[in-house]
Amino acid sequence: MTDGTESSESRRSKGRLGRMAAAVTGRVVETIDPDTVIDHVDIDQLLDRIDADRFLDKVDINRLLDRVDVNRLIDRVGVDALLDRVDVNQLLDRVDIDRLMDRVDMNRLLARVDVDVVLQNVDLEAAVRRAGVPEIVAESTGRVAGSALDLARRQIVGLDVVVDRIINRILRRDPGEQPMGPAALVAEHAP
Amino acid sequence: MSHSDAWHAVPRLRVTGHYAGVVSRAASAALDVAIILGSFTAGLAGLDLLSRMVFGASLARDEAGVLSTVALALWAFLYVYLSMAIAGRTLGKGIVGLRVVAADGSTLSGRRALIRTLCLPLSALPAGAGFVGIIVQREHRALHDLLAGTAVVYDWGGRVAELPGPLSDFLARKAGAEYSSRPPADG
Repeated sequence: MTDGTESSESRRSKGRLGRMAAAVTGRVVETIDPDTVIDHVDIDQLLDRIDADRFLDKVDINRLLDRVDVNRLIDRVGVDALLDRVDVNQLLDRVDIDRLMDRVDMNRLLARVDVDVVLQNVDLEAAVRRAGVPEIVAESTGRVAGSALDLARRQIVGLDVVVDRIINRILRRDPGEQPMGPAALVAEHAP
Repeated sequence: MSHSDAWHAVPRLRVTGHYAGVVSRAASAALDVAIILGSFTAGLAGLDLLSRMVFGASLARDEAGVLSTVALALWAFLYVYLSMAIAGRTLGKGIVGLRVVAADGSTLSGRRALIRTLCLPLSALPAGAGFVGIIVQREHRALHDLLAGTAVVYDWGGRVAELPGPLSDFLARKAGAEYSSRPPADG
């Protein structure tokens, strides 16, 4: 009987204390500046006490990512400002071009290139003109035409000589005594 | 002996400046006649078309053909004389590779070109007897060449006039003294 009376008194006392503590805590929290409290907290010590692995084990990454609105995130990123801060030259200095090229599969790359589309943007006529192709074609065409003409001329000159030798034989003239051409021209073109 | 050695063993005889023979002369004359007649016919047809369009009268009404003959003779004279005076060769001679020069080899003057052109009919009129000189005369000069003091020689412009290789080889062996021989510059 006595134990029962003591326990009910004890519960009443705890209830009163609890209400007092709540009232006091409420007053204290309302009164104290949070920054003052935070200033007293040693963040490093707090972080040292946190078991990061255990914390991460509790995080469901997939669920977290599902909640991230990527488009909204990208919209908030100032790409131009970001790019302005990138030093392209410094970036390129750090790139090992040879190593990069070794990793490029040229055949696969070329297979993906639509040559027709590329050529549509190329002024082939100007490129051909710059390369001097018309001059080369004209020169080679002229050379071929000249060679063909010379071939025909040689045949005609050959016939001249044959006819000349026949006439000399008929007229009993010594071919060696026949004048070859006007003296000035023969001397000019002599070997 | 390799193939290339055998190829270069037959140098072509050079004939630039030598008197042109009868075949060359005949070929160039045939080309000139074709050019004169072709250009005259085309020109006359064009003028006739123009005359009919502008004046309503055809040039083909020349029944006796006197005017056409005179016009053809005039056109032939102008073609031969002007070509000769300006370039020393007609178009036909240029294609075959011939040039008309003074008998001593100097450049043809306008006066000689005029005399040669005027004397050309003299070679043709007595049944072409004046042209026989091209065959039998030592310098292959026709009557009009002798009268004008001219000669016709091989001249291929910037290139060297040559004989075919096999014929050059034959001449070099049989009658080398008749033609000078020198390997081509390009080997």
